[in-house]
Amino acid sequence: MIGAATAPRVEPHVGAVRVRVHGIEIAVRSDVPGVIETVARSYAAFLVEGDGRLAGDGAEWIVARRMTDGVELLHARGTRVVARDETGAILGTLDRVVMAVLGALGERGIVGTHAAAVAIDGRAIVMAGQSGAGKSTLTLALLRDGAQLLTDELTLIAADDRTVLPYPRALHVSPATVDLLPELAFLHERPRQALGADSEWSVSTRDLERAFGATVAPPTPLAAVVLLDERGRPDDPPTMLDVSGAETAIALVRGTPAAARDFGGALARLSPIVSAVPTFRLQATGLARSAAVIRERLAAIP
Amino acid sequence: MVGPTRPDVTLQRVGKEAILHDAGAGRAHVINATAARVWELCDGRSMDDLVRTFAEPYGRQPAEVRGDVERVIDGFRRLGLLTEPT
Repeated sequence: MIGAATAPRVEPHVGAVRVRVHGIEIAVRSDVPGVIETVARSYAAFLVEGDGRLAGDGAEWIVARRMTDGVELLHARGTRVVARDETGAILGTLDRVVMAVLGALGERGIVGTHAAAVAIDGRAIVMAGQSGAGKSTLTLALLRDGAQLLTDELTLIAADDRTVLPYPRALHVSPATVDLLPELAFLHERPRQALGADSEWSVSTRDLERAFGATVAPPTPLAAVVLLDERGRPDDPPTMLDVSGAETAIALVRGTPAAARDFGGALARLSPIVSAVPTFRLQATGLARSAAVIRERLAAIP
Repeated sequence: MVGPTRPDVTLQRVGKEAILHDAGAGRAHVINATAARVWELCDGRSMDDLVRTFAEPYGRQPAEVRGDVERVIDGFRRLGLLTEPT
C-alpha cells in the first residue's frame, strides 16, 4: 500500500494520457509499451489536454512502470499490484481506471455495474449478463436500429434520480460479431488487439457513427432493466419475460466491482433503483428479432 | 422464542420482494413480502406473540396464519439465519 498523493516519476518516460469522466480527471503514466495507447484508444471520448501529472487531495492517477520482475501498477487510492507481463499491465491499468471512476463517482451517489445500456426514444434500458451473454452484440444491434449509446460494459446510474450517465468507452468487438453486422466490415482493414484470450477490435464512438449513424446519448432516465440469458436456439423466437426485481438486483450487484468488499452496501444502493422500474429476462435469438422485442416491450412501458 | 435474527444478516426490500443477505455465509436469499414481515418480527419474542402480531394488520385470527408463519420460520432456521439458544 502507498499513501502518497503525488504520483511517482516514471523513467524512462514513454507516455502519459489524461481523461475526464463526468468531472473525474484521471492521469495515467507508463513506460510499458501499449499501456498509454490502449487507454487513449479505449477512452478516446474522454481525452483531455494535459500530461500525466496530477497532484493534490482527490487527484486520481495511475502509474504502470516496469520492474525487473514484472510491471508495478500504482493507483492514487493507495493500491499497488504487480502485473506479470505487458498484457497484464494493460488490463490492470484499464481496471484501475474503472476503479478510479467508480470510486470517485461513488462518493457522489453514482452506482456502477457491469452492464450495457442504450437510450431509445429518451429512455434508458440497461442490459446485464455474464461475459459472453451478448451485451455488446445486442447493444450494436439496437444502435443499428436507431438507439443511442450509453455504454456497452459499465452502466453508471445516479441513485437519486435513476439517471443513466453515458460512459462511451470504446467497445471491444469480435470477428464473430462483425460477421453478424456487415456495417462493421470496415474493421477488417484494421489490426485486432489481443487482450487476454481474445483478439478483438476496439470500436470508437466515431466508428459507431460511421457504421450506424449512432450517437452518444445524454444522461437518460432509466426505464427498464433486462437480464440476458444464455442465447436460445436460432430457430426459436426470442423471449422476454417479467423477472423479479430481487433477482435483478442480485444480478446487478454481482456486476458491481464494489460488491466483492461490500455486497450489502451495493445491494442497498441498487435495490431502490431496481424497485422503481420494470425488470425482464431475455433469451435472445437472432439479433434483429431480439432488438425488436426489446423495443416492443419498452414501448409498452407507460 | 423466535430469533433474534443474526446481526450479519440484513433485509433489503426490492419491489414486492426482499433479499436476505447473509454476509457471514456470502449468500443472498430472495423472499416474498410476507416472509419479510415475519423476518422483521423475529426479535426474540415468543411464537404466540409473533403470530398474533403478524395476523393483526391483516384482520386474521392467529390460528389461521400460524401454520404459514411456522413454515417461514422453519425456513429461516434451516438456513441458519436466526440466533437462538440451543
